[in-house]
Amino acid sequence: MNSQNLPKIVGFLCTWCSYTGADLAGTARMKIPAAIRVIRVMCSGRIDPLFVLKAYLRGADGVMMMGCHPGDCHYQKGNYNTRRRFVMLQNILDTLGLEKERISLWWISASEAPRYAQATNEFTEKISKMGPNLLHDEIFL
Amino acid sequence: MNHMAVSCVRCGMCSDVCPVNIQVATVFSRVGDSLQKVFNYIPGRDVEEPVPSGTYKEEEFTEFGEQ
Repeated sequence: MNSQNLPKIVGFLCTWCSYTGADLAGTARMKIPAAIRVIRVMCSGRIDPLFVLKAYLRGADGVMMMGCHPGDCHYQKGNYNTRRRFVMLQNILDTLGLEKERISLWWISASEAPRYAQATNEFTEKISKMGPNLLHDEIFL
Repeated sequence: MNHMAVSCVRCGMCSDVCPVNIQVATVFSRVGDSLQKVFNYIPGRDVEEPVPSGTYKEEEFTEFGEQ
């Protein structure tokens, strides 16, 4: 994969689990695709659906939301809300005829560095296959 | 849309007040239809019932995030 067809992926990672997990993956020198741009949020519950939509509509090829496993949230119930929002978001995109496959939700705990590597690699692979997000040229915001 | 569509009762007032005459009600009711089905929620059924975006269940949509 060269830099020409490297997709742009925005990742929202919760500080307590996913970001720590990503940090561990880096410390363990695992191979993480360069396509992903990490944005750290305090909790996956902080990820406003608007963040995701904005990234998507402004031309990000994929958006990943990552948080602690259900029940492990540092703030008790943040990720339960995230899950509902993700379901809503997918549903909305689907109804409006947009590609809901471009957004994804992953539960990654602080110790799951291999899972983080696997998640990012898999998703990047999938997005590369889907090709670039053309919405950027089609929608004026 | 993310917090409103699920509460849409299809009154059509949003289209009435749109200053540039965009038929937003059509979009809202369409999205609302599928969202309300997902959460088995009917807006106005019960005043005490919490809005889906303001509540959660521990055991639901467990297939998401676990690929």
